[in-house]
Amino acid sequence: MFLGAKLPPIRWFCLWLGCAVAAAAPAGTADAGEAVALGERVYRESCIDCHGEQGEGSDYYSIPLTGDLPPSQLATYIANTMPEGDAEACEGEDAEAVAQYLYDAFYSPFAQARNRPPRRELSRLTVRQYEQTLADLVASFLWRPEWKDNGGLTARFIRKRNVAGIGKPAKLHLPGIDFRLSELTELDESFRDPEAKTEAQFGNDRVDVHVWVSGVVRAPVTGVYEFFVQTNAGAELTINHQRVIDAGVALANGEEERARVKLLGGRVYELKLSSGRISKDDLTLRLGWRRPGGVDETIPARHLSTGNAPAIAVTEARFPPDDRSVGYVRGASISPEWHEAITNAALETTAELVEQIAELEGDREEPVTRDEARSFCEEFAARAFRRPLTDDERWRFVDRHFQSGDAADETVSPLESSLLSVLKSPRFLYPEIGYAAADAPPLQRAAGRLALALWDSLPDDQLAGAAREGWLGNPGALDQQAERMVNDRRTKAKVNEFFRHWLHLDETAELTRDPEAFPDFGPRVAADMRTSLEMLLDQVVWRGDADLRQLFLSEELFVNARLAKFLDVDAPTDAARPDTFVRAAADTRQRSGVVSHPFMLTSLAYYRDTSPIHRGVFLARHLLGRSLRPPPEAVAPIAPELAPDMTTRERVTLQTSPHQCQACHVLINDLGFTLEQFDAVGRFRSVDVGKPVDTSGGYVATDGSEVRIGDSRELAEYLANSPDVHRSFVTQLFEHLTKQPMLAYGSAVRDELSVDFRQNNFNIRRLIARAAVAAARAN
Amino acid sequence: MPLFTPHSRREFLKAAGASPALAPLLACLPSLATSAPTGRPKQRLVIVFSPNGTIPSNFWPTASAAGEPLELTPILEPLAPHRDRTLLLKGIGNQIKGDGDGHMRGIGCLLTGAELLPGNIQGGSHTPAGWSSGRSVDQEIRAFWQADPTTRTRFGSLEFGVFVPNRADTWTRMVYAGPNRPIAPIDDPYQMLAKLYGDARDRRALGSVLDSVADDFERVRTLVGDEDRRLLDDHAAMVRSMERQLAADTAMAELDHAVPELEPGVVETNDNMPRISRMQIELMVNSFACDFARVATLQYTRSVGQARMRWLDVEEGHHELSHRPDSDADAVAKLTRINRWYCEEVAHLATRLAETPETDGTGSMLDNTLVVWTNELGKGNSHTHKDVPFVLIGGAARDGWAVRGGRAIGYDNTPHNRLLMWLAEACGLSLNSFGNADYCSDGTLTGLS
Repeated sequence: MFLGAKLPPIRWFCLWLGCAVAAAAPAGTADAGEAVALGERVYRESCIDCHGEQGEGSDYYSIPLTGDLPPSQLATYIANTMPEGDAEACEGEDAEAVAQYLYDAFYSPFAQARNRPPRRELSRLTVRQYEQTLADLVASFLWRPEWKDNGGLTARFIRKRNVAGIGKPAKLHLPGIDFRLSELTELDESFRDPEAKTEAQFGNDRVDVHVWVSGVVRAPVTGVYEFFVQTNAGAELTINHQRVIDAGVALANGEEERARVKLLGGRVYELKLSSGRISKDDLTLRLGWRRPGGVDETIPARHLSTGNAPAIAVTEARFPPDDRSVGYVRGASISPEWHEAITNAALETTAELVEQIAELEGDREEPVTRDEARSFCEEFAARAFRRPLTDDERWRFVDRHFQSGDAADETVSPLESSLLSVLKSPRFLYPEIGYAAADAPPLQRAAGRLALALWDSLPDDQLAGAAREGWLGNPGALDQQAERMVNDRRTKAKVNEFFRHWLHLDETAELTRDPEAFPDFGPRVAADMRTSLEMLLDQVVWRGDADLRQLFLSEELFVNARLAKFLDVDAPTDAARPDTFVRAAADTRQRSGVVSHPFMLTSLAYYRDTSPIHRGVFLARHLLGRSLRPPPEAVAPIAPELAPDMTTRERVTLQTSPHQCQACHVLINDLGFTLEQFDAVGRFRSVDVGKPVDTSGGYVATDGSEVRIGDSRELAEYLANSPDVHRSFVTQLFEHLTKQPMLAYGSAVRDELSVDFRQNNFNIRRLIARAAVAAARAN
Repeated sequence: MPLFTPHSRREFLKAAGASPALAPLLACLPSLATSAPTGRPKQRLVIVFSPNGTIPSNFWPTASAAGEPLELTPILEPLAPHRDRTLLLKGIGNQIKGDGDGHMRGIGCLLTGAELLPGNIQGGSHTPAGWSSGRSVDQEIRAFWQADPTTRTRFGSLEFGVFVPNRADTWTRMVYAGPNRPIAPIDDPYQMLAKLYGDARDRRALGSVLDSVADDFERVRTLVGDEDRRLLDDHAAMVRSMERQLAADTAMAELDHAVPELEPGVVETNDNMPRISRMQIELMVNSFACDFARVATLQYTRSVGQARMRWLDVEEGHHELSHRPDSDADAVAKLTRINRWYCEEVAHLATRLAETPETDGTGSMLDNTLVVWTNELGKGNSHTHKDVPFVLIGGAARDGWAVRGGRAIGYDNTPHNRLLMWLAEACGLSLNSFGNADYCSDGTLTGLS
């Protein structure tokens, strides 16, 4: 196969018929009436046999006629290709009339929404929501950690002779753990050199140095993190209060220990590492990780801070992935595997709560009393159901389990069965059922929905308190809460997952390139590119003024020494710390924002050559929000080897020249070609197979407007101001937050959010808060 | 305090290789619970460790080093019910040299008979050291029995602990699967129960709530429209199906054997040592009855263990007391009480084994099980490895250990490697040496049967 498995299978996605704003048919005139009649007549005569009464399809052609091409492009397509086998039978006025007819009757998103209005479906918690909710439910009984964001860990050094401490310990703030003890010049000589001591002080004994590292580590995304410790001594590593590396006794046959730990994104985890110089060998110590989809690296300072954190409940249960067929993850279906997973997670959580209840009830040693256990269960159920319990629920979920007076008669403890029944209840698993079942006060429902939309989780104390005390109903109170909550790490983590999907960040792990063509490209550079893009997103969305347009227009590039060299960018990097990223000006006027970010350009390219089709489809689908469909047949691209004199542009043009392809590939190619000045690893180029690169392209918007785009810079400027991009961004972000189709909330919600977004300088953080509030307020 | 300690049940289940809650009920599958009957009795080995040496004057018989019948000294008195089945070995020492302080070599070489590897664990004296360079004899026997289908069991061996500090270092590990491969004892009886019966417990808890969960679905289904109700009905059907499956499994499980009940909520604190000790002993006897394993170790605290036996009116830590001179009568009295308490636990284990008949009619469990009670030192304040206590109880069956009890044997400064060889050979393993071969030239220890 020519298409590498590393790329999304574009060849199944030719643009078939493409989103539109509601372009109302000309109405009220005789001509308009006649045109509609003509269109309907043509449709009935020439189209209905294959496409069905309402474009639903037939046995012969089953794909429904829905899409987002403007009527003008639809007409061109019909004139060129329809009816099948006799394309000349429907042209000109006929083609325009039938295009307008089907556009208004059933084809356009507007018509679709009118004919079959989407509704909010009953949804269970998604896997992410379940994991986050469970973690917060347990954490709500504990103290909250503080993220000091001071970019490093505390390392304490203690000198010892045998087991006895000597002198004062030393304390350092280290941006990461990767050192040789003798080279830590901040330390006194007696720490660094085992011989550097006076006999009068310590006699003939050797002086050992023990190292204790502590702090917290932040997990940017949910997944399995592989931690590793490299040392010539022994080491113990504790993450999230679990000792994951237990090699206090140095192994004779290895200098590295690894451990895999599942962490939930958007949370901070306590980290402790101990090691030491015993005997005269110098101590080397490195603490690294491999993030999900990443490479081995010393844990970077930006994910570290000093401080402590309570243990976070991370379930070990294995869930099947959620449905993502509509573009966002949702909980609209269940399966036996899912049911088994939530059952296992409930059992696991229950067992741990039973084990730890004394600590949850105030950090003490003696067992809790039956009454304390009962009231714990009541509070637990109320938090799980996101509202106060009804009398009936208090009986069913709590008191009933505690009614037997004699503990000795119970084969299952009341605590255990109460907690389990809460965690298995539809009132917990389906938040909307939870509200309906209690006829929940609107404020508690709004609070629950707000937390679910922003955090995939439960309301925190402040939000729950505002609902309970009623002032959440005050004008603006919900907005204030949302604005507060947007800055929480949990919102960042959830929105970062949106960007990961939006920008294909998930598909980077195995980026490979032809080592002959790109000898200096490797997994480390690929990982640097991803980090660079993540930092750009972080800068624009979370640190700057959050203007969506800056995602396209920013002329900054985050690079470390390695990436700067690879891209040949001038940057103030520190040669001594080649992994540390700095902000630099992008190298060329052509490069700006995410679209011409080296990571995007590389991930949307082949093993050796660029792929204007991948880039174009990405721009069309993800950024401009155009709907794409499988093509009528799969097509393999022309291999570059078969046409060595042709530029990529020429090959793609030739390949997609048939009429059948053209209707769609005009759109894809014209977008993708504008990025041809960047090669398969995102470096700037001006020639392709010896010919000057042609970056001219263009775009026809869903409202029918046309624009010529000369190069990547013009593309970025167009995208920054494109209504298609704005609408698509609002819709996709809303659906990511709420897990429901946006139109199910009514077109007024969409329009209000879009207008507000535009009027507020396309502020993404504001949009997030407004979208969550809109979902929380819905009836 | 951490919410989830490293010894959490989940981590434990993972470490034990047990699968999530709904995996098949391994414990109840007869094919795994018992081996094929062979007509031979189930020979078993239990090694019990208590730390910090003994008080020789109150431990060894006074009249002479050897003797018959066995004289029960103040420390050994609790073994009175089993006097005829008790064999005391004097004059056996741990002669292994090399890196590590006395306590480290005391426990690390006790069952391995081999030196410690160079390492980075520094004690209060001597050189630093690492793990042992050999496999411990219990694991040697385990491997031998597991390789034979007629003696293979579900776990092979079980490593019990009582109040073992939660850290992995040379002082806390006695059992080694091989060089550099220590095996951690499980000192939480609930974790041990989960290892033995984890599935069953989860199933019981689940079984108790599924009916009300299904009932809950009935109540809420009317709250949604027809289109959404299908999702809830599908979910409810899964709950019912799980309920039926559990009922069927439980009925099958009950045909097998009962799951032991543990007193709930006993937390791992110093003061709970006596209760935890008894819980662990019950679990051990139960696991033998189910033939889950034929080798077990029971490690009280660790070498240098600092138990404070307040229940014996001893406020000081055990190790600290053990350093006091022989002239300190108070310390001697307290240390005697401490060692006697350990002896009571060993005697209780022997009693429980004696009370439990073998299901195949080959006598009592104590007939087939040899309990070896030992220590990492001969004496605490001298840290000597000479005259390390070795008390053998049970194992009288002729076609098993064939130990002749009711006496003491005096050896002359004999390396303990020869005793380890005897243990292995009595199980049918033929060895030329065990651990460091330099200490094995005189062959296996004789005179025990």
